[in-house]
Amino acid sequence: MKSHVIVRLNFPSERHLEIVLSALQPETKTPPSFRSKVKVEGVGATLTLSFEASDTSALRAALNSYLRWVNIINDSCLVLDSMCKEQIKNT
Amino acid sequence: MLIKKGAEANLYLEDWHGHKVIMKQRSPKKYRVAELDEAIRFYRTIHESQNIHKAKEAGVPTPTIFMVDIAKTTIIMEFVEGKQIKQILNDLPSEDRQRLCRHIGELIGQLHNHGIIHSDLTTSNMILTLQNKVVFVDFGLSERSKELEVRGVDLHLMKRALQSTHYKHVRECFDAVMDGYTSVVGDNVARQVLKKVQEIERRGRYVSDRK
Amino acid sequence: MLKRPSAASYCLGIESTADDFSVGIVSFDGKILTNVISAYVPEKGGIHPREAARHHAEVAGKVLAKAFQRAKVKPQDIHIIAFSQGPGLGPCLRTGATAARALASYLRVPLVGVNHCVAHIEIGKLVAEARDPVTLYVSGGNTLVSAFEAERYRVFGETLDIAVGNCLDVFAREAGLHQKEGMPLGAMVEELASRGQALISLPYTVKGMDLSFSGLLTAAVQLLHDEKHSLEDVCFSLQEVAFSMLTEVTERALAHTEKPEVLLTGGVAANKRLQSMLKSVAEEHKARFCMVPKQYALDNGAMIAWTGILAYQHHVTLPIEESFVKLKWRLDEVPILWVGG
Repeated sequence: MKSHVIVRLNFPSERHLEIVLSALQPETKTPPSFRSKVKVEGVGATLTLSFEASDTSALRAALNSYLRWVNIINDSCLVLDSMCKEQIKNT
Repeated sequence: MLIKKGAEANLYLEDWHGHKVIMKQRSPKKYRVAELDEAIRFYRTIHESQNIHKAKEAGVPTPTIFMVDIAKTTIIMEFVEGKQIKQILNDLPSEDRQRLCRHIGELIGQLHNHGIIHSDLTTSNMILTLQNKVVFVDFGLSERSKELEVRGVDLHLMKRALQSTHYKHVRECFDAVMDGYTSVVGDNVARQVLKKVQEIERRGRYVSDRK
Repeated sequence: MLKRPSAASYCLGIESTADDFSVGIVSFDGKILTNVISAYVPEKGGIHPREAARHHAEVAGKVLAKAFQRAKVKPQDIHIIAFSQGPGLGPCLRTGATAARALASYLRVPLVGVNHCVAHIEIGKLVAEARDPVTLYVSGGNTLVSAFEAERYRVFGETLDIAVGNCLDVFAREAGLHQKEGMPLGAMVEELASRGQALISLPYTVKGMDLSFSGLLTAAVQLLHDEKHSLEDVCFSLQEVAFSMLTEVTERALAHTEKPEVLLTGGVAANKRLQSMLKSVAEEHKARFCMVPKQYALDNGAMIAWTGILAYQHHVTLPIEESFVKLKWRLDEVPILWVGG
């Protein structure tokens, strides 16, 4: 069963989205599976992920991978954000 | 006189009733438990002497064995005068190098046709004699088998030896080896064995999925 | 604008090839400031790559924060980001790589892709003070004997089928042992083996300098099912045979290369019996035995950071848009520009 899903994620800033896009880009070029296709677009501070898969389990796998990656990017940025803020407070 | 302290055995050059001989002695390895150590040394001494003899029957030059002392895990054999292929291969003109490798491939093919697997095909275990004959030595890890997998591993080892000591000429040399091998075992077998070699390369050498 | 690196410049390294996610921070003059490791422990069975990747994504933020805290380094002091680019499990590698790219992009610093096996050798050399060793690297995913020759770490011997750590792990699970945090399966087999006495005959497979463990594993598992021998004796025999094979090929490489040192690393390096065997052959060949301490022998971020520094100092960097992971990146494909000779 051919499946489609579109996910939109809003980031706090354009800079933030820029980081997400650059970190995701090499993965979109070498997809781990041929059973799914993903389009990644960024406008302003919004990321749009369009998934297309040959069946629902391939769709789920692709969704999971991308959400996992977005998650780890986000968490990494948060750590840096908090440390940079702390420093501003301290000076 | 000790001429080589190997990992597996020590080689002594001796005089034995007027012959220049190699005395190959497998001494105990301290790191192994005695029981395992003895089993390995006995097994290899017996197999080495048997397979050196079988190889000769298959038309592959090997040293002549004079005496085997199983209790002392020692083999006394002919000292083959010449140069290790390892020492000369890189410096040969390309054409000679290919001819030599082709010949090595033929010899490996003859061993395999007779069900002998050398299991340690390196260019240091092949000697080019003063009479321009290639002699295979060190059958310590050899075994008897006609399985494709085992033949594949044998040639894989040859390729690996070329990669580690003759990295500049790997392609040229291995192609020539396979060429000679094919001429002896036939296209069909050679193709299947080569497929095994490629399979082995993909398999163990990389991180494969773990169980 | 890039700062010039100095002794006070740091590299942050991310390791995520298999079941461990780790972040290390190392200074350009080779001081390891921190090395935080979070291991994924499967509830049962072996590693599921996707599950491990999920673990990595879940703990990444925490591990990263802890690393900065412990190192007492500010993000601005990080001069480069290094990550394990391969070889390894796809989902795990991709997850770590994504984090590394995000950090490099955020901090606007260069990214360096590191070969996992090279990193094991380099950190070993750094912490165990080895200069030019024959290395035996043994873990759940790798079994290889290597030494430097003409710009590369050449592979002298390796497994023809499964890794020795994998052999021990699968055997342990077949024997009904369960992995716990801080107590890997290999350690349990080691403990049982120390109480074994009778040597049971098992296949000993050395071909040239290569090894095979799958036949050994099958035979050892069969012994379990036969129930004729105590588990202690089976563990003892399995270890004796497997480690004798490893020691034999290491000795062959040592005799062949005549290197002055033997370096033991990887997860299986923690095994005392294997250590004593290697020490014995090293002594026999008048080579120094160099043992890598556990936290740097296991998969770790510090090794990635340190190797990243070595590569970066020789102008090796990786544009983010080309930083694809390499699942099957061989040790001997990597030019080792920083070792002379």
